Amino acid sequence: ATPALRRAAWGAPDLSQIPGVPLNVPLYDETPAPAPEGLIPNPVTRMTTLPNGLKVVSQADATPVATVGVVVNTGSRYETAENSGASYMLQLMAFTSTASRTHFKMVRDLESMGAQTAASAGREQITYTVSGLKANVKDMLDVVAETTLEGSFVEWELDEKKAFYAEEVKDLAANPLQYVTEKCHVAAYAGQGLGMPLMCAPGKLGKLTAPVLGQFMETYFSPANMVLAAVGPDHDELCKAAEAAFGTVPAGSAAPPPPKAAYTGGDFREVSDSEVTHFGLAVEGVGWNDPDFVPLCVLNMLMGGGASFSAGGPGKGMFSRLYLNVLNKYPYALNAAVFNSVHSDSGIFGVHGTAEPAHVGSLATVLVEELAAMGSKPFSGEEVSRAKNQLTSSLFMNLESSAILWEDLGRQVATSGKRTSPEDLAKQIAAVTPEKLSEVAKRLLKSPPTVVVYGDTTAVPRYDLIAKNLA
Amino acid sequence: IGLASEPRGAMELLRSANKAFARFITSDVYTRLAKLGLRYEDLYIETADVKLALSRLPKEALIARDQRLKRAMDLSMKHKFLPDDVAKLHLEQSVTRSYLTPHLEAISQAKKEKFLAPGSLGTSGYDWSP
Repeated sequence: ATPALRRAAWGAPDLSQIPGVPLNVPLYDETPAPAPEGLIPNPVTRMTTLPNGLKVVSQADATPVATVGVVVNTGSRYETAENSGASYMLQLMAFTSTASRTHFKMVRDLESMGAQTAASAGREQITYTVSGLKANVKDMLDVVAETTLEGSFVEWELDEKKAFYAEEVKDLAANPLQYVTEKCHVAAYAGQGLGMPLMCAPGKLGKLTAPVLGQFMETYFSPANMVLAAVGPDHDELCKAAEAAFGTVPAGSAAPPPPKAAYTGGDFREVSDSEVTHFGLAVEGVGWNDPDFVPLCVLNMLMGGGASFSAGGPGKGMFSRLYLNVLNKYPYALNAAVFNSVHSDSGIFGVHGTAEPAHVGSLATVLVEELAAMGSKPFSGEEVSRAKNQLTSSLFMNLESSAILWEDLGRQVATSGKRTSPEDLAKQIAAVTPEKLSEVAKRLLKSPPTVVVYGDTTAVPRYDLIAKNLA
Repeated sequence: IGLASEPRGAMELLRSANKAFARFITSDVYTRLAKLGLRYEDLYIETADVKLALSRLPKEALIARDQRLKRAMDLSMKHKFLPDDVAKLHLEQSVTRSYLTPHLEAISQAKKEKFLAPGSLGTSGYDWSP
């Protein structure tokens, strides 16, 4: 009696009125009807080329947010010894003072638009993005055009960023897996082209003066060398706004092509006083336009791997080969994961390993065996189909993020001049067979290996022993 | 209305006298600075703005400035001056050359921009931002 009174006083429902239905019995008889066709329009990617050579690619959506930006076909691969580190410096100097506004005004203008900016410099592409409301697309494009075409490298701002640059170089060394991948590139391509470091040594920053950076921009930041990508705004309105922001810039002369990628393989060992040793063991991979690119991505998913202690639920790859054969079997393996760096005409495919110095030799041996087995042991249908499913679902789920979709649009068009839709990529993934994977693995293992050790350099076997066991 | 035939007023007389006196004082200051080998801008009192402007100068300009000041202090201690021909050269080429003023102007421009930007305290005396 008392509980019922209390419930009525609170206004809570009288639960005795609702029939008790156990949770393993469906509540309704009929399944819900599927959504009618055309309710959510299929996204369409449209591409136009402006008269001065700038390619404009966009995909409209129904949200009030737009992400616009530019991908420039230049990066550390195009640097020389005199301007090594210029691309990363340009990333740091993005959205600072230009010829038309000071850094302060730029920040205040972006704040008043509610926009966020990002810039990222890689080996072959530098991206500049601004995300904000669709109503502000014209102003956002103005900001992007100013920073890519009219940047003024003010001395004291440069010095501030150089101090930050030196800190970033230290941070890279503190992220060992990224550091190992970076050094794999330097060792594999003998320090030229793709082997040019992403960030130069802090002592060389004095070479990156305003004229040097200006010259680098002058050579490579021409409209014909850039792609304007956008997620959100309507394509025709975007082209009008792009014409207003970028149309006045002349096409300019063609940028010099980069040096051809020459993979040599190599050995790089650096001593550090950390309690664990990290190493990378890699071979030559494939480029973006290679027909074996999609099979290599499936192979990457299949080999998988990760850290020995990692949180996460289903889908993180616990049944990949490196987890089953290495991480679950050997407790000293702190980390064993494959990585796949793809560039326009070449790439690096390899495996990271982390262990304490006493065990890193055994881990290296185990991983060499795994890589050799990749070429010799045939793949089972189950593991290949699992890898294909994981890759396809990861592809579609990642493309739900507008930032990743923007990158996909921009970088694809910048690399190959067209955008392959995720549906076409899914078809290519579905066409991969276990025999194809074996063929790709054998092709990879023919190239000389690259070995990078960061930590106790004597614990990992010699280069020639590794090369002999991999072949 | 300013015809030459009108009698000149007292204010105009005072103004032209002031201008002539100013010219005399200026040239006198420059000559004295030249005898010590200094530039006019070497004597700016180091307020926060001047310190910031100095930090933006290239190293060679800072070193040259320090050397000029050291030379002037040395001469002053010894109660000597630069040789006449050197002082003359310095007067012609160097004394009035400005190296800090462009930076000081840029700094004051930046301060003004910051002061007048919406949301800064300069516009209303109190800040409404949450």
